[in-house]
Amino acid sequence: MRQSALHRWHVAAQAQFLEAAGWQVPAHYGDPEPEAAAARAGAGLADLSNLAKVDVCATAPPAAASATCWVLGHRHYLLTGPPEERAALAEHGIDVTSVFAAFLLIGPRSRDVLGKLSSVPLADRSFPNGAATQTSVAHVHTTILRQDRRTLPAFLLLAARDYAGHLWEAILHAGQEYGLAPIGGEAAARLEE
Amino acid sequence: MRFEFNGTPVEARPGDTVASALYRAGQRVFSRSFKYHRPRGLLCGAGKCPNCLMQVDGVPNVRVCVTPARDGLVVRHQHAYPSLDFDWLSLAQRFDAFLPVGWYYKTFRSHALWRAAEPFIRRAAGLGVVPADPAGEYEHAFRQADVAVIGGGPSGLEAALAHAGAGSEVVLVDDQPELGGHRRYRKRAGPEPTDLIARVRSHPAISVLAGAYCFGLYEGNLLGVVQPAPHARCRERLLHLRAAHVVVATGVYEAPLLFPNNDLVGVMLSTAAQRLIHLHGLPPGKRAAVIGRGVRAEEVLADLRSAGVETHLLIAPEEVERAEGAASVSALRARGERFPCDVVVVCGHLVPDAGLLSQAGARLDWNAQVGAFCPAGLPPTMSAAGEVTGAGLSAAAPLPAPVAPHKRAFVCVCTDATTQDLCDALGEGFDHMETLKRYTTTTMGPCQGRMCQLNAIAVCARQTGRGMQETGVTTSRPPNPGVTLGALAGPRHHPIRRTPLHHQHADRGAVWLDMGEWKRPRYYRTAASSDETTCVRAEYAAVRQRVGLIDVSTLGKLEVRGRDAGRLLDKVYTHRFSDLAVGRARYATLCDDHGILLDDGTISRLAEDRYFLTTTTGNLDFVEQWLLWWLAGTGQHVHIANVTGGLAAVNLAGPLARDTLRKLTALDLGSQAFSYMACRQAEVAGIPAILLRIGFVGETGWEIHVPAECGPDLWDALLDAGREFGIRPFGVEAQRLLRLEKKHVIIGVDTDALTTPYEAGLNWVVRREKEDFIGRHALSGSPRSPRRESLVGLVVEGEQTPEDGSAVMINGRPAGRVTSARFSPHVGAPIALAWAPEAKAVEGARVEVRIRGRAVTARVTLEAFYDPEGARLRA
Amino acid sequence: MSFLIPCPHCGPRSVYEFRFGGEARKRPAPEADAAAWAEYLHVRRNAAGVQTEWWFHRAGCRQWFQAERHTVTNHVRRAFRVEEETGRDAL
Repeated sequence: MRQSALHRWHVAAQAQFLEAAGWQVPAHYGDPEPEAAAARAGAGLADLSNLAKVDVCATAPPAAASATCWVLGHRHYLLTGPPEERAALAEHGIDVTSVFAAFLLIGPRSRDVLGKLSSVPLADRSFPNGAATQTSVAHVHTTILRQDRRTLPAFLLLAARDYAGHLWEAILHAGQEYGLAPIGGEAAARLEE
Repeated sequence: MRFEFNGTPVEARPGDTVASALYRAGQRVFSRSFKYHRPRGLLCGAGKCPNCLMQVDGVPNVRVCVTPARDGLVVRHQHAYPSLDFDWLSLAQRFDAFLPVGWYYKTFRSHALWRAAEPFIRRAAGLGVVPADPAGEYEHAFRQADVAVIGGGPSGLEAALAHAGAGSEVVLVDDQPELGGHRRYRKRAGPEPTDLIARVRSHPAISVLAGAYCFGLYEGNLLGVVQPAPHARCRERLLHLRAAHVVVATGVYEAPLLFPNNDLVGVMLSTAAQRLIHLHGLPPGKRAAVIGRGVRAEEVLADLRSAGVETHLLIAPEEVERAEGAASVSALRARGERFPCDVVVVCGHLVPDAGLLSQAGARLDWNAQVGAFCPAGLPPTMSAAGEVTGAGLSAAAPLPAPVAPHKRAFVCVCTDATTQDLCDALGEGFDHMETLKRYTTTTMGPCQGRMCQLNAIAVCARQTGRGMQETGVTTSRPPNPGVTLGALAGPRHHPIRRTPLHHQHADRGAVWLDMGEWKRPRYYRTAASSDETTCVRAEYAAVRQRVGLIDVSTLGKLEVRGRDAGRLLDKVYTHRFSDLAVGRARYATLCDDHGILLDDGTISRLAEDRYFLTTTTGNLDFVEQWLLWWLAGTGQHVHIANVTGGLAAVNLAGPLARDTLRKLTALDLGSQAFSYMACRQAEVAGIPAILLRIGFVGETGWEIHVPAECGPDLWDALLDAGREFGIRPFGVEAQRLLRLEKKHVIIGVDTDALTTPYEAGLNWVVRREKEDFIGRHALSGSPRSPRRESLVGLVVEGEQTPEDGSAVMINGRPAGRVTSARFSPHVGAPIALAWAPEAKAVEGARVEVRIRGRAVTARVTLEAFYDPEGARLRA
Repeated sequence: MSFLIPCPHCGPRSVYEFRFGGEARKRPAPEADAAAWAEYLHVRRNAAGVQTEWWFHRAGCRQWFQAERHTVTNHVRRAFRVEEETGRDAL
């Protein structure tokens, strides 16, 4: 079974796991409802490391129906998609699913949390839904993808897997004052409804 | 609300600062002066002077007049022995004749004398005690704005509304708990701007940071802003505020007037008295003498009277002779009369608070009419609004005024520099404002010149006969006000990198080694032993005799793809890679154009247009940038992806490695089918893997790379498969010993910033016949041409292993150095890699190595210490 | 030091996100004489004024670009990708 870099952290936090495309991912840490409520009121942090990610170097953005395409640089794109699409998406470039841990930081205070860890402007005006950027978050190179869920602002954060533990802890610590809670896949799904 | 002051509870009311609560409780002495330990009371009441610095919750030098009183604070005085009201060290002022200006320079002419005196001076003249373990956290945060307005007085509020009205996002920073600026306590100067405040507070495009102070303006309009206690856990938050435009509306602050005993407790600036009256409902005393003239002095007089303070008639600044009193003021002497009082209220100079503007490059020009240096020549990204421009000011007293040198007329209350001291210094020839400042330390104390700069300039101008403008202001530099080191340092975000096998190592008793940000197992404790030498020896033996397994996930790993991949690698690496066959790997070294070795690793060709590179652990970032740099602007089709974090990598090595691996894969592992320096992609234990037949440790071995999330499964499977063969995981220490026996070089450990491949004995990696590569020009000469020194092997006599870095000696003189040394179980003696002069790079030559001060003989060897033919590696 | 550099892809960012790559200079041809190589390896203009430099956006898009920076004021006049301009000497 494939496990995220934070697997031991999830186990210690009493996560209940579910299986998705060969990966064990946290479903919830006891009860999904308060997790979703925390995310709606302040902020929530979910480990979505099994997200399929493909690094593409091309003159034009690749066409992949099942994926979201982000512009990372000049002739440099990133495809993200559901875990089961990993092999299909890898046709477009280099599969970096394993390279990056992926966290979803969601909620009305998510921007304030990031504002304590990164110097990049993330206001709607400069960083609207669908925008992508790369910067240092808690001193770690991070790709920030704005992917709102319904009315909630949400940011996908991709960082090298070996920094996952450091980044996860840093975000949780920075978010304490805003009521940030770790949330499982079930709560994350509820926020989409 | 109640806090503790020197162990005694003090009641505080809402809106109180620590200082106002103490004042209400009857405290008048707030500190002792730096040099003479004179008692000092509230002077500015605005966080600009050094008089109320105290230790709050362990933090030294807190300005308690701007620290909101909170329940449970622990406040202590500092720098007074034993107490504020009685301080033995105040006897120092009796000996002021022996403490002239420049005392340090004049007294401590011998180093020994200074060393003897220093501990006493540090205790006597210190500024609080730095806590060993400060409670609470410090945070950083980042914020961007179109416009930052500094100052929440009427002009700042108007500027904020104007910019917000024009469509800008505005951040307004004010160091007071409430907006309104001086109108909050100068009630007679104009109405409180309640309407402006309400509009600012409710404007969606304006964020207000009240109670936060801006300590500096840096390049690119970066403002340093400190927010004290933004939330319960946090002591201070440093906000990096970046604004396209900065409006400075900081107003003015008040600076003292010069007269003998102007520092007595009870002598306070008029704005301090007004703050006590209007912000805290506290009459500053019972009977006041007011020094000042004009409208503002009348305003202060009226405020005092309405607060129930008995006042004398106004006394003009030039009429003042001196203040009198022992510990605190008892009378003011002026125009030949004695005015008994318990407080002297001084309407001082109003000084534009233009530090931020001057940090941004604005000039400060003397304007005699308003009696102030006013900002001019602002950069286009800055503007100024309100009294900071000098508008509406009028001189409190003529400047420069006549100065009578006096030993008790204090110019600088931070360091006790008097008009006498300044005049003496000027007499000694320090007659430029900048040298006068440095010699007397005036403007260099905690107030950073706010109390003293104008007076010091006036004294200098008067004594030298130059004008105020010609004398000029000293440079303003951030931080001002001071900022804690904790706030600057911020949170402890030291990134830690963990390999995908981290928990497997922890479960097995790994003892960690920090390599940069990485955590790597140095060795593994076992049930039998936790002694490093014993454990490393056992791990070593497992690899040499049976089979061992090491986590090498920290190796840098790059995928390089595309039509021109081979061409780029040929250009950047010294060897040729365009001719590498698919399924083969090659040792690879990188040089710069000086021919200096930068990094090494392996390059494997996985497919026609697909290369897999490994780099050393510490150099990944550099190598990736180096490749991208040589690619930039060439238009070549190469896709470089850093896949380091995505692959767990292990090295399985030892005579029984093949037997172990065979149980987990269908690949033919025979030495013909899968020969040394071959690479394959296959499944191992059902996991897709890249296998490289290479051997850093000198035994039959495979480097196996698998997706990071499958790493733990691979690790467990290999240990299970190897159990019958006596497999053992080994750490970095055993690996270093194993590679040293093979004389395998670690770039950056055994080589330095001047080492070429030839000197490191790597002639074969340089393909000089290539048309071009980075370093070709420098390496175009013969590898055998004269060089400074060579990297050789040493076998050291005796039992003692030299330390890394020990000197290599020839005829008693240092002639080289040891780069790596370990005790070799194979040789049965300490072995080393060392740089030695070319003449000694001969098999069997003798040199000496200095080990703990003793010269020990060592024999030079040019071959590997272990298996020089490489038979075991290729087996 | 806290000036901003306008990365051609990411926009203005703090200088701390970047790695400085030195003056932009032309590498001599492999067959160039020793004097040309010595000049390239050991001599720098070290201008007190505007100079064209290499910068790498280390914390951002991880791409190299060139910038014209005033070495005294740190004002960056413009920044551009190399292929947009002259192109680099062919490898």
